[in-house]
Amino acid sequence: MSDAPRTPTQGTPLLEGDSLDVYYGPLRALHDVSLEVHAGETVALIGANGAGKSTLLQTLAGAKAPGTGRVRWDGEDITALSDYRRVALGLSLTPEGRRLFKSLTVEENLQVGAHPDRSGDWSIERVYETFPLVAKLRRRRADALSGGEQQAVAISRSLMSNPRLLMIDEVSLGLAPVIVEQLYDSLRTVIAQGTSLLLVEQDLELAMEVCTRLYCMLEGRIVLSGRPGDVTRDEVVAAYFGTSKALQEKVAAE
Amino acid sequence: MSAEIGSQASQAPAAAGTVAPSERGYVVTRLDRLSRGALVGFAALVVLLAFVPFSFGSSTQNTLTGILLLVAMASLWNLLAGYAGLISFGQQAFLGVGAYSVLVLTRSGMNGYVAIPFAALIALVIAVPLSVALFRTRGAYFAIATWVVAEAFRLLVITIPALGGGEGASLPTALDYSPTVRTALTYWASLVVAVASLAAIWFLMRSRTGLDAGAVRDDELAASSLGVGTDRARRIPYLVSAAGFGAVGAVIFLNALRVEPASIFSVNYSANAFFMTVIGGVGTIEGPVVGALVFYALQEFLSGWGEWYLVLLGVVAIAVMLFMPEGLWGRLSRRFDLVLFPIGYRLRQRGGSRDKR
Amino acid sequence: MRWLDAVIHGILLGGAYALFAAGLSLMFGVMRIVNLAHGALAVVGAYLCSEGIRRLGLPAAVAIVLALPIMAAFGYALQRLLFDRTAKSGEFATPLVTFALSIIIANVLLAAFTSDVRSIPVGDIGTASLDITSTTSVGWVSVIVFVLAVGILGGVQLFLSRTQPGRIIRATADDQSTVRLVGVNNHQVFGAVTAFAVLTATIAGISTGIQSSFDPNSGVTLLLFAFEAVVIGGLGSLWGTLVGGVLLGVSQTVAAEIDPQYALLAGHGVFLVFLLFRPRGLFPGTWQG
Repeated sequence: MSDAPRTPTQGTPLLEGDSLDVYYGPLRALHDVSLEVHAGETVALIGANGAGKSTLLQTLAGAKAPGTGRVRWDGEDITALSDYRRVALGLSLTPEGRRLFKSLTVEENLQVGAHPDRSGDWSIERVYETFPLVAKLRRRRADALSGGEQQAVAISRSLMSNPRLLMIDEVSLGLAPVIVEQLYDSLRTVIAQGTSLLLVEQDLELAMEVCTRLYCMLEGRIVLSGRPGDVTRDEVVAAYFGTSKALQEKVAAE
Repeated sequence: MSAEIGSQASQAPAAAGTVAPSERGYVVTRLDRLSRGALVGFAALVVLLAFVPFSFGSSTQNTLTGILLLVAMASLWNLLAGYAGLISFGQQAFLGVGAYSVLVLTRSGMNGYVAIPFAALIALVIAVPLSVALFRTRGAYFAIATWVVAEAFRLLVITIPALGGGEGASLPTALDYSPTVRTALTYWASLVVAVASLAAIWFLMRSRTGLDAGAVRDDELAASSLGVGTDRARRIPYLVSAAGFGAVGAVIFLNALRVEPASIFSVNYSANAFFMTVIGGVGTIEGPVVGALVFYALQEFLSGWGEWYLVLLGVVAIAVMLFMPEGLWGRLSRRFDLVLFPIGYRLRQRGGSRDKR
Repeated sequence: MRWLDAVIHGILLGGAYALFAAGLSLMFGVMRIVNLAHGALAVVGAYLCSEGIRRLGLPAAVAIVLALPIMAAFGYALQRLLFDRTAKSGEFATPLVTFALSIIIANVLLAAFTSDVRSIPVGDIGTASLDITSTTSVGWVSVIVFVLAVGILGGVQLFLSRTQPGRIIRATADDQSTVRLVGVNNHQVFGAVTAFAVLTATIAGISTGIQSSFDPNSGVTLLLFAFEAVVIGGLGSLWGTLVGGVLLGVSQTVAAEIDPQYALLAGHGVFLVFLLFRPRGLFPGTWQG
């Protein structure tokens, strides 16, 4: 599937999506999409709006059932497993639009996030240390937060379940640069703790800075994958917009 | 009733380089051949029905009276639910208003049958202030509030000895017709009420009000942002439904000769109207009619079952709502692309088969 | 002095109404479901208890205690099997289905037990009374019911605001699909809430059965009063429901002093007045638990 040389990685991937076809009614949102995330990696998923990034994350999280294809966790097939059960395995999704529980305070949102009761490093105190922004707001009702504040809380809430792999849908979308910087600082700490990340990121620079591998999607397909060092910026941009001739031919051929 | 685009242009030659409207493949109509046929058929049916008392005995007339009143109630309930998006469990309040209006008017000397339109009018007048209070609520809360109103009416009537209190009252014998004539008059009254109800719904829903009401039902915020008077759009169907139920209540009283609060204000009337509408198909004119017929048939066949009959109806209604929400007529209509009494517009290919709406 | 009497009895009656309304309020707050079968379910609970005493010869206390988990389980089943489905069928499906359910229940009860009015006999405590003042005495049962109402409402309030399961319920009420992303099975949460609502309805139904009487059609009046208490108190406030219930109860008992046949009418009248002038109730606000 990829144009760049495939990066050899050790062992079974932590999370694997295998030939996923996902439909919304008669509309095909994902075409034969495969991706993997190995333990310890930070994988970026980039692409224009409507490329299918959210759909892919939702499918991996179990919120959307694929038409065909498999989802595997640590080598085991979890395609039929409900979304709320996948959290207990250590797979957590911070959804697009943050989706905080509006009538609860920030602290209560975090407490609910701890429901899966998984052991690990993340506790409310740890979260407050890593996200000082969240600590400041702990008593505030979730519907009284700015976009950046909500995002920090949403990510923290997902962390409360001590995930092995955290998927974040749209990290920086609509947020002020200062906030985004703070968020990524906190994310670096999360990465340092050993959590694997799968990020959807609109900002190419940020994505390429933080990730160890990336996938680029276009119109429901993966059109580029590789390490940030191995792909040129031009290749990425071309894949993003679907402007390379080879790409267009390839897409047309399918 | 139909508006054909470019019927003028079909006479003039097309200007060079343009496509004359008459050459476009589509025509917007309100009534196609089937519906025109259905309207004619309906008119013929009404005429036939009008002659029933001359050729059939009282038992047939009584049966038909019962069915016609069911048709009226189901259609009027559907006017609220299917078209205006208002669920009501309290229309029986207006049945009572209509019945007791006839009681009062006939006691003052008016002819019972002449009193029917007045009963409808009184129901309408009472419905106006009620709608002010009721429209403060939405959805299910509106439904319960209407139920409360009906209960309140029942309790109120019980406290009024002049109306017979809890015992009820009888039609005064000022109505001195022979039984044969009385049966016929009651039958004709129910026919008029049923036809009037259907006609009112037909015209109302095809008018601007109908369009508005549908818009409010579908998306109130959007409708109001488009300048639709949301309250008015729902109030008119509510008032019409109230008037209709008032008329039905009047006929019920004239038919039974007695009225009792426990019976005329019973929520079972709403339940039945709801069952009929849901089973037949909400939001169409044909649906409640089909539902009324099915309901009547079930009532006849299962009359020995007592309470279990209502249990069965309830179960069927739930099953229909879960598995066939468009109702019996809705299912038929979709399957055969059959719309006898359309309230919308149809796109018809010129000279060809009917297109989907 | 009769007036004070009437007010005191009205307050206690209000507690019973609040108890009825609690379940209705909860189901609406968490799931946006208006359960029109709420009253009918309360009556089923009363019949269950009554039959336990009559047919099985159980002591009243045992019958009461047994009826509760049975009804709770029934509520859970109703939610998972029926309401979860109707929730997907559009805005009106659930109220209509619950309405049909109330008709079904009332008629099944009618067929099984006839329209004879009955009570739940609880022995001496049923008639024991407590003297509040030298001229006023109230039944022990109504005091117990009032205390129970306050306790349950307060308990639910605390439970929702202070405990983890309570937080989870509130979170599910806010966003039932996102709550799955933090590992919560929203269907189970809803099932539990309905189970609890039916449980409280059963308690309310049984207490009515003890204090006065019931028949298959009692569910209707109970539903209407529960609903009125919720609206008067304000949608979304549990304490408001208590106040609403008390207002309703007092208006009925005071009106009864004037003329007994105006009692129920007065309650409906107060409701309609509120609807006209303060439709959002005394304590309007978003669901606060």
